This record gives sequence, C-alpha cells and structure tokens, in this order.
Amino acid sequence: MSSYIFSREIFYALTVALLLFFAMESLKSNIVQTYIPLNGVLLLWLLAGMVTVYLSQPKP
Amino acid sequence: MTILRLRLTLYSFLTLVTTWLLWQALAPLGAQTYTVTPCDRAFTISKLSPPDRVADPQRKEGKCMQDIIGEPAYFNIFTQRAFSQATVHVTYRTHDTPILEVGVLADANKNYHLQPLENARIDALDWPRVTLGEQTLLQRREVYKSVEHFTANPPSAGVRTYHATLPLDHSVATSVAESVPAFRSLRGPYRFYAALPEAGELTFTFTFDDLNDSDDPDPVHIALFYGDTLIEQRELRDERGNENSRERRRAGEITITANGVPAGVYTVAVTATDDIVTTDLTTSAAALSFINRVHLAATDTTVPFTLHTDIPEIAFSTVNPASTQAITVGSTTVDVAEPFRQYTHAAQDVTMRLQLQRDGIIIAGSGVVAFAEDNLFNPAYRSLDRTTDLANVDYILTSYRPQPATDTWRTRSVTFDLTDVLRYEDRYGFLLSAPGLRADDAVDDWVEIGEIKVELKGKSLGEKLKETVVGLFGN
Repeated sequence: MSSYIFSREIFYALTVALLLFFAMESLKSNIVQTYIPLNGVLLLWLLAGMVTVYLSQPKP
Repeated sequence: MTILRLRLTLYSFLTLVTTWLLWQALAPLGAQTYTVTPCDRAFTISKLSPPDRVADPQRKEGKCMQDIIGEPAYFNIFTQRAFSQATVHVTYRTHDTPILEVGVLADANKNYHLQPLENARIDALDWPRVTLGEQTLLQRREVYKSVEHFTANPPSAGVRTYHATLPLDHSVATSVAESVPAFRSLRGPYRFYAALPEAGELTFTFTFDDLNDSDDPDPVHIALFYGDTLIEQRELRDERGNENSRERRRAGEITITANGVPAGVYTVAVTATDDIVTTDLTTSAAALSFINRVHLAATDTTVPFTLHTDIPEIAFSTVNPASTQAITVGSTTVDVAEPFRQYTHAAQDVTMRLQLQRDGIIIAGSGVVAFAEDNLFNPAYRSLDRTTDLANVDYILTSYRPQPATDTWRTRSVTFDLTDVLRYEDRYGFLLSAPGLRADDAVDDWVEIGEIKVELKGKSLGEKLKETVVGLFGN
C-alpha cells in the first residue's frame, strides 16, 4: 500500500472523527474536550490533509 | 483488501474512542472515579486555587506534591452528569496544622458543608470513648456509659462539640429577660438566636432594601425554628428580577409570627443574596444574638459603635474600601487595612467588646455576635477549635472518628451527599480548610497534598430508565 493511500485513509478517518466530535460537543459541551483537545485533532486533520495533497502530486 | 483492513482498524479505533467518551459521560453503572496528583493536567479535577494560598507543585522522592499555605484552598470536579454521593480521598501530610476539613459547595451563597478529615487534637487524646452510630463521646473520666445517656442530660460546663450538635440550652432565655433587642443593618444572609423569656407570642418584622448590584433575582426566605423543628416560614419575591438599574430601593417587609409558643430560644435563618440589606428588625423577643457571621451593611454614618461577641478566633474583612478601619478588640487593635483580605484575632477572654469606627465589616467565627451587651447569649455548646484550651474540657462529642496520630503521608476519606448541593456549569465545588493556616504569617505551617481521588456514585442508566418508565406508565 502506498504512502498516499495510507495518508488519505488517515485523513478520511480524522474527518469523520472531527465531525463526530463536533456533533457530540454540540449536543453536550465538554463531552469530548474533557479528555481529547479538539484543537489537537483539528491540527492532526490539517497535517494529514496537507501530507495527502503533497503525496498526491505526480513525481517529476 | 489492504485498504479494507486499514479502514476497519481506523474506524474500529474511532468507535472504541467514541464509546469510551460516551461511557465516561453517562457513567451507565452509576459510578465514576477520578484521581489526580498536583502535577497532572486533568480537566475533571481542577488545580488547587487561589494561587496565593498554594505553592507550585513539585516532585520529591518520585512523588508529586503541592503545599497549601493558606486556607481555604478550592478545587472543582467536572462531571457530565449529576451524582448523589461523593467520597473524597485525600493523600496528604501536615506540619503544625491540627485540623483539616473538606467541604462541598452547598448553595449559591457560598455556604459549604464541611466534614472533618483530621483533627490531631482529638487524635492525641487517650480519653475513654463510647460510640453510637456516627457519634463518639470522649470523656476525661468515664462518667457516661453511652452517647445516648450523655446527650439526654449533658453537663452545663466542660463540654465541646466537633461536627456534632447537642440540643440548645433553652434556660438561657430567662437570663436575658430584661434586655431590649438590638439590631444594625445587615447585608446578605444571616442567622440568629432569639430569646423568649415567657411563653406567648413571638413576632418578627423585617424590612429589606434591594441594592440591585446584580440583575439576578433576589428573593428573601425566612425560617423560624424551635430546636430542629420548623415553626414558620415566609418568602419575599423579588419584583426587580432581571432589572438592570443599580438603584437601591425598598424591597418590602416580612412579618413572621408564632402564637402560643413556649419560652426558650428560637433560631431564625434569613436566606438572601448580598444585594439584600435588612434595614430594620423589630421583634417581641427579648434579645438577639447573631450566629457565626454578620455582614454589617455599609452606611454613611461615621459614629463609632460597640458590638459584643464570644467568638474565640474572630475574622474581620470588608468588601468596601471605605470601610477599612482599626477595630478595637478588647485591649488590642486589629487593623483591617485592605478590602478583600481577612484579618484574624484570637480572643483573650470568653466575651469580647468590639469597637468599630464604621459599618461595612464582615465578622465571622464560631460563636455569636450581639449589638448590645445584654443581648449576648449563646444557647449552643461551644465547638472545639484549634485554640480551645483542653484543660477546661471534660467531654467532647464528635462525629469525627479518632484515628492514630501520625506525621507521615496518610490517606483519609470523607463522604458527601450531593443530592442537595450546588452543581454549577457541570461542576461541584470543594474546599480544603485548615483553620489558622495563613499565607501571610511568619509561621512555618502547611498541608502537603499528594493526591485527590473522588469516587462518585449515582443512579445507574438502568435505574434511570426504570424511573422514566414508571413515571410514564405507573407501576
């Protein structure tokens, strides 16, 4: 499995995680934040997205 | 196939994390335990505060610890759901601090329910003791065979209580028969004893002003008790709730009357916010003695006045910069130099005269305060504090269970009922109190905290569901 696919799957999973966590926080505040800092998850998601975009570029 | 396996792993992990988060939030079995050391960055149990009463956490001998140098120190417990019981285990050691108590925030008026964690003064006594349920009686010489025998007929002198109550001594009501009830404007909540020397009618008329500094509603509730029995209660609703103006206005009057009541001592509890000022109190009682705390409402008058108290360790403070002053306590002077600071003084005599220059002072401690010398009476048995001279004490009644004295690390526990306490923004408030522990004195005393563990218990998800079903469809 290529690094690109691995990175893309991580990005997808983090996207689902972020949406899920935000939905949970909207229903009951601090339900996630108490244990998992959401800004950290957001940073990881951004990083995974950037790595995925970088790896998707065709090599010269 | 490889992608499928990767997805399965990632989403299984996400499902696991989400389930764990929901489990933590709902506590479906009705129990939850949180443990924290001072070095942990935990969200569930906050760090000890305020910073000027606690030292920085430090690691020594592989253990994280934090000194409390001034009391009380506060911490909050954040929970996603309500619980009905909390057992707080504190791992600590002390230095020159004989009493350590834990409290839970009971209401919005910042009243705490305190429970003893350690009383080294009681632990050090090798007196004979008898126990009944939660209560223990320590006797210098074994006179009483049981706690029941003692509480039914306690001696009038040489008794101290510690987190225990004995019936009030109603006979003191006759000793103040000739006095005239005295009162000054008070701010916020307060309680007082009222002496009725002869059976008949007991009446109180309170007049209230509302400062409206806060736009929250300011209802007033007054309850009249004879011993533990509620005789009468009245409430004054706030007509200015949610009004933005900070104008002081008359809030109203409450008259509370009890007819055909026996002679004795009555307790009145006035519950109000700090926006409420009791400007006048007229009564048919002979004398009024205010219990544990009075907040003299700031007025424009600058005529010095005298109060009387039997509080052994008096604390003075003010929230009003114009009320800073030197207070004469017996033959010494206590300079209340800054607002929002507490100044304590250990009394030399059983009863003391306090000479104040102006109002706006909060007087607090374990005892009573009266506005005239002939009004000063205390029908309650005195409590044991860190300054009590044990040479004059023969009996101690307490709900504290004495434990072997030690100066090493120890873990002790107290249990609180959380059903009626304040839960604010998903938090329960707690404090650690070590009477006499001050950050700004030269005494080398401290309480060192190693770990706080809180076991919470409440209804399980099954019990809640059962309740809902019964509520909807009956039994």
